[in-house]
Amino acid sequence: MSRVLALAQRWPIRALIRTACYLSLASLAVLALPILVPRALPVVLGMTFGQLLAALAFGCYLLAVIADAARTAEKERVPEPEPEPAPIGLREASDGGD
Amino acid sequence: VKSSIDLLGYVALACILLAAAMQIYFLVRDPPFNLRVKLRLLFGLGALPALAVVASTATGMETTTERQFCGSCHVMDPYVDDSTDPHSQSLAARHARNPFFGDRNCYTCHADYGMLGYPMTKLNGLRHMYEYYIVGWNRLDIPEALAKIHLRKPYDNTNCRQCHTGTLEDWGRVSEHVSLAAELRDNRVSCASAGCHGYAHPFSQNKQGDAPEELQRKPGTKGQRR
Repeated sequence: MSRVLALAQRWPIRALIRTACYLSLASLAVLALPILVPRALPVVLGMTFGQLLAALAFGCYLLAVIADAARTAEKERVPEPEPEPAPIGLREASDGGD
Repeated sequence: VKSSIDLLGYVALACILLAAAMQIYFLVRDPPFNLRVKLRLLFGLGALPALAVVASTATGMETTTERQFCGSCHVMDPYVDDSTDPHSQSLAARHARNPFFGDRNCYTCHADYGMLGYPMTKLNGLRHMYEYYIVGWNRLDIPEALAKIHLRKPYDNTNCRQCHTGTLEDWGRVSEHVSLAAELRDNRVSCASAGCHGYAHPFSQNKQGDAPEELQRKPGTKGQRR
């Protein structure tokens, strides 16, 4: 499970979401065909490829959500390192130093 | 393009347009992937497309029962032309003029009867698609198609008897119905055969299930019955 989460952290979230949108737009176009053009090929394409593309798009969206959740969990588990203190000379200068 | 779209079709189109608008918005604006955007995309990539799939599939399945759909393959043109000819006296045309059949007359007569009739008919329709686009029926001209394309199995009298149940007194008064009752039940004689009620389409000829020869010798006596 931890290996899957580690892998999920490396998935490109924005690319997955954009792919999901493109796939979904294609599926919506194919799904509109049986309604607008009631011929054999558009109807069969709508009921096969339309559904397949819509499922793939939703799958990409789910992967993006999982990747985002994995990254968030990793950030919470490993606290961000404290910023290193400035060198002493600089610190005195910023304090006023008179 | 379809001349009239039913309510479910409009629902599908509305979902499609709304989902497309949400996705285009995301692609153009590219907002940060926070909880709000996630929920919006869940709606735009999940709920709306799912509703569109259901509505589009239901509309598509309904479309497959219409004569316009059957006639979308050119090899069916003669059958559709005969069905819609107001002067045709063929069995198919006379049934198509009946409001109970109407625009769905191909499906009403050719759909298999029984609980699995609907899915089995749809599966057979997929085979028709295969024959048309892969095997090459789409390249046949009409005379070739009429000579080559036939029913895969003899027409089942059960389909006729969905409506013509044979329980009315008038049905039993026809002597041939009584004398051929067993043959009709077992599909050894077809209702739609020469000498009985005639072929369903003017250019179709049954290879099997024709009426006995003594009935065929007096054509028109039963074939013109309405």
